[in-house]
Amino acid sequence: MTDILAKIASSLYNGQSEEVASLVQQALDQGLSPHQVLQGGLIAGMDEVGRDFKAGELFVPEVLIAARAMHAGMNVLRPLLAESDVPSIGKYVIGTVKGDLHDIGKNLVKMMLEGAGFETVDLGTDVDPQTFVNAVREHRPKIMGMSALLTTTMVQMKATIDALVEAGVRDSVKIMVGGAPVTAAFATQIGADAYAPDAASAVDVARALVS
Amino acid sequence: MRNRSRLADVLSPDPQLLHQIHTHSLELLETRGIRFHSERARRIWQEAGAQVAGDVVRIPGSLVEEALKRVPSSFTLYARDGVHDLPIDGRRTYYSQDGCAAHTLDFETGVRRRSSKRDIEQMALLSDALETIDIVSPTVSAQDVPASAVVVHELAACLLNSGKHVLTESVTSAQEARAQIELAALLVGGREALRERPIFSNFVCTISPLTQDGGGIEAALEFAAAGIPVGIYPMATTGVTAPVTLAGTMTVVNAEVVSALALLQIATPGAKVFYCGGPATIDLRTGAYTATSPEAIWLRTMVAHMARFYGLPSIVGAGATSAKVPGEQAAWENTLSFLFPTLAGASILFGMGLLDGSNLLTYEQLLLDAEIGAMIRRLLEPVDFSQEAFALDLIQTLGPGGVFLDQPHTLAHMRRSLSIPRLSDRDSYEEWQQKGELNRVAVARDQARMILATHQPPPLADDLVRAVEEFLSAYTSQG
Repeated sequence: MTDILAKIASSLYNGQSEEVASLVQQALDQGLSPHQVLQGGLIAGMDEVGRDFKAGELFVPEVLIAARAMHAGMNVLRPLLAESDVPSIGKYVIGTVKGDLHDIGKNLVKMMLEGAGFETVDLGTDVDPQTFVNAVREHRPKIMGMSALLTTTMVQMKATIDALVEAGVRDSVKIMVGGAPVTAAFATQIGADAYAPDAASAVDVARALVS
Repeated sequence: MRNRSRLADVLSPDPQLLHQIHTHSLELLETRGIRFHSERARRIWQEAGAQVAGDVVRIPGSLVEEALKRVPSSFTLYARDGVHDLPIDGRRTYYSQDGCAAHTLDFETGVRRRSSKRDIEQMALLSDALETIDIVSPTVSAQDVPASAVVVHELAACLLNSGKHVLTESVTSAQEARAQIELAALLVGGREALRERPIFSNFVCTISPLTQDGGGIEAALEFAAAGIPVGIYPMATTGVTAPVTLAGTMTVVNAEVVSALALLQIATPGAKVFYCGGPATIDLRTGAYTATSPEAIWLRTMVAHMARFYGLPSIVGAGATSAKVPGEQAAWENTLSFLFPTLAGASILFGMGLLDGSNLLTYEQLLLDAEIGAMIRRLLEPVDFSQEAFALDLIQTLGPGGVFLDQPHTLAHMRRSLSIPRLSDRDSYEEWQQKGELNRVAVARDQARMILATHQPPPLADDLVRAVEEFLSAYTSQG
């Protein structure tokens, strides 16, 4: 029985999405509970990924495909899990601010967050303040993240926070900012809750914000 | 046939390989297409015979090849002072400051802070004084002026504090481009005079992979039409915005450059353009952007080769070490990063003076980078092999055991024969101790302080300065 859980964990570690999905189904067919599969297979595998990434043995692309395999497994499990068992740490609304078309960093952060169990809502690039406000109202995320690459667009982060205040929803959400020109001092100055310098640390910062 | 050395392969790659990069990128442009956010650009392509579907343009390879034939292979970058004009003729590599960092390590307090217009002015002054820096660039973003007027303030800060040619970036709309053109025209006596003697040029970044910025491309069209030299500058990052392999990354870079340069030639035949690029790599452990890995330096060297393959002037991203402080890592990375593209015949190296992957300005780094550039430049200068230089008569006369130090031949030739470094330490150990065991960063700092306190840029008539100031305040207040 635990054999198949070990297989799930190692397939996840290797980023084999289809393999993970079918092994998860197989494990359920063998009579394992969804909770057992989640803990002993998927989360065990992801923990190993996290350990080896921190140790410098796994690289960023390997973490991303492992996260994708985790998703494939979760897609099979989710309908069977009680709401409380689903390891979604919370919703995360993310976007690149108005006037800025750069989305690589934002996409990386999104992928890493998903790997860590956040449910993300991606607003894309060139997102105006009102769209952020609407998304916060609609999705009620725990965290909202804004990205900017240009010094001329990072001012939009402040404009967006002001719009959230104006709309009366600022306090319902934690705000994270990032991007090459952004600093921790800037984040404080514009009234954001947190800053992360890169995608990997964005996950740690986001976890700390919701814990 | 003799085996070529690996060095020869890097410095002068097999033309067949360059041709492969060319054909693969044209194939991509024709079959997959490239996104142009600008409607104006898409219209030009449509009229020229490309296929436009949504914002993606599929360009027949022949259109690109035809357009590139119209590009001038040489032109001159003019300087406001009329002294530092730079003929781009494939014989010399010019060095430019790096551009648009967001942070400055404050020269007085040593605290990292947001960059300002004052930083650009100070750095322009330093560049004006440093003989190795040929081109001045807004090396940081002027974050203390309104965002809508940043590009004119940055250009003015460079032009007023230096007499050298200015290279700008970060222009994001046709309107901003027109404003820079208007500002520069004030200093040279109008638009037509500026077309004759463009005292600044510009480059526009692509959004890799395979996307052309909307406002950026419209700015480039504007510059090309006004006779301002303009380049297209991809910063594809291996493994993220381009394949992890170097051949694939170069193909993406090339597709982005040639598609935009072809557009500019179709819109303005004969426009002065640069083939540019600052492709980079990620650190696999963190995803961090790295401009000075060996692979990134290889890519940038290849940018220079591809430009030469097309017979085009080039601007190659160089320097921009990942080091956070001036010192050993910055020195070893930037040395190699300046050397290889120079040996590959780059027209301009863009990238002196910044740390932290072009994100942090320290005033000292410009002097340290200039020292590296001066050594490379010296190494590439032709050596005198005249009879006088062989000095056979003198060697015959002095014979075994002779001393050359006090000979007229030595006095006559020493200043041209041997160079003196600005910063490097050549003292005896004891002298070095007596002078306070200074490290070279401290020496660079002292020199920077001295230049800032004493250097005067080439003067400008009062009425011109006033005209620039009026232009700035009018432009800034119109928002």
